Amino acid sequence: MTATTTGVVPVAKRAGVGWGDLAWLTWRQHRWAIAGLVAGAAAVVALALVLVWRVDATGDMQGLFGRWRFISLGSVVMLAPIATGLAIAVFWAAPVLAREYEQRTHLVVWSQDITPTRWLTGKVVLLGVPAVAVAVGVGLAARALVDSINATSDRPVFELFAMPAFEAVPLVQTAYAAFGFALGLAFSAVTRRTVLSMGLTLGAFIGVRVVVAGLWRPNFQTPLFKVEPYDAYRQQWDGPGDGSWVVNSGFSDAAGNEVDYPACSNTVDQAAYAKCMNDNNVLFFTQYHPADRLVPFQLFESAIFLVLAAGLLALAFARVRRARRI
Amino acid sequence: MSTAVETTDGAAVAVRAQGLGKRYRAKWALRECTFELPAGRVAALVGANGAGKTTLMTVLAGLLDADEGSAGAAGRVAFVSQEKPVYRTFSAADMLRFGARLNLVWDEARARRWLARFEIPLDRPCGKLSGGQQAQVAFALAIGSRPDVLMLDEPLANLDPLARREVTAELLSEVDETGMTVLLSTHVVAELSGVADHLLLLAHGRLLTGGDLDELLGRHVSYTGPRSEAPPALGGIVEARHTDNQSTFLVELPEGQPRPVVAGPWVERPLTLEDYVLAQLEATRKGARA
Repeated sequence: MTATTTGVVPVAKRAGVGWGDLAWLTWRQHRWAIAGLVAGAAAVVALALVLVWRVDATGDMQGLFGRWRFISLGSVVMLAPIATGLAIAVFWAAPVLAREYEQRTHLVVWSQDITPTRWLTGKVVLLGVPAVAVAVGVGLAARALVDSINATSDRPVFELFAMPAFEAVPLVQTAYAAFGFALGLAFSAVTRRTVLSMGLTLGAFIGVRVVVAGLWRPNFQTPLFKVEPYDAYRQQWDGPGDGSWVVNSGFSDAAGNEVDYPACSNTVDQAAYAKCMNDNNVLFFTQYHPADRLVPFQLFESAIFLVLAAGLLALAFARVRRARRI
Repeated sequence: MSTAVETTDGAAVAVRAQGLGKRYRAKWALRECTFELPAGRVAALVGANGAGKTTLMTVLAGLLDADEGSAGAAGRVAFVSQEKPVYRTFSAADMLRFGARLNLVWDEARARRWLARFEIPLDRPCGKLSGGQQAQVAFALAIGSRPDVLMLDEPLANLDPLARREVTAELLSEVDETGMTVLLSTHVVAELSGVADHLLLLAHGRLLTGGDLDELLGRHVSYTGPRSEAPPALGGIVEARHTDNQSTFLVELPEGQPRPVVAGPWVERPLTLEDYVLAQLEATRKGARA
């Protein structure tokens, strides 16, 4: 041992570990995941703004950029509101705790002068807030594109109740991002395995989104009901076009009771078909949500995902705070 | 880091456990564990594999919740787990930055001195270092945080024999300079001679014995003589071994009495730490079988 004394560099003492320190740690550990997602989201937002500018300038969405059809570029943008929350869940949140457990580094970081709860709070804030910001940016850009494209036509190109237009608003995007982040974190805390946690997060995120969007969303409120004769119904063959959302339709009698398909299929033309239907007293019923339910539905859907996010976050914190195994 | 400054009888206690118990599902890994470790000691936590050493250490370090009883350490605790984990993508310099940012007290010079002493490159990712080098980075981090209590789980496990001796020596010089308390676990008792001055002996999740090492060894004596059913002096028989014409007894002398003098065919031999620990562990194993 040389005669070096410890007086050369003074021993540093301070009152607490600050946010700057946690920010340094978070960036140092997750910089590639952060940079990747932020770059991807920035590219999507830039593309959306270019498309908005192009559509607004030409009023046309068919011949975008020569032989590039709208659908090829626009669909990339419109995938973003669906994929952002998922990417945050799988690539940002799912590895956070799992990788620490897997490499045993949780024992290192929690042995420093920081409690597990404070450490996790740091991660949640320093990754979660940027995650929500990215999602809001994507939501705003996609929304602008939806509005722009819908303005070129009398009938909406994107049905506002349908995916992806329903999702492409900042509030819903925020809820998905928060849910995805909490879901990844919870699986991360429970499984303690990175790949497993990423896989389960992927499956569960898609599963919950499908169940809520496909099964629950049509029933957020009791749909309105109307019965029309065949002629009136035929005029709005591909939907009412007034921004309302048809969730169910079929054959019925005048009282609205569902009936079997009548034996009119062998008629020679439309007029005879209509007459056959009328003769059999067959009408058409529609269950639908009017356009003014759009925002309440988006609020309700956001609330569902935010409540789920809060529960999952609480689970992750409970797991970390009360360690039953190391 | 847990902080619970406690003192009894005027003597500073660095680590205390009171009826500590911890179970994994139905199986108790640790039970009725009570001890006090005075400040400034180098204590060895010894036990067979699976005796509960790691469980006890992580509970004491505040990383694991006990199921019963309580534990506390006075001041700041640094813990280095068995695997000597480090962030694989961090360089050794990053690990020191990590230590500086996440600790209230940070002694950069001390941490750098440790790394320099063991010739650890500062700029390579820890994932590319050897297991022994990673262990040195983990030690440097723990030393640099200037803990009041340093807990090391199997600190010498993945070091070569030379490094073991050097690490032990460095550790003792750090203890001399800083006055910290050290608790280190091991199942290789031979490594401990000349290092530890306090012993905690763990078997099957229970604390067999604990206390000042010199006092413990002084209370015990080993007798070798002609084959016999009983030792030449009164006391509790910890271990008795017989060959055809020779008997060896390890006897715990009764407290508060002068050391008996034996003569004749009996030879009295001072006890080494290793003899003592092995005899104790052997006894519990026989007890468990019976």
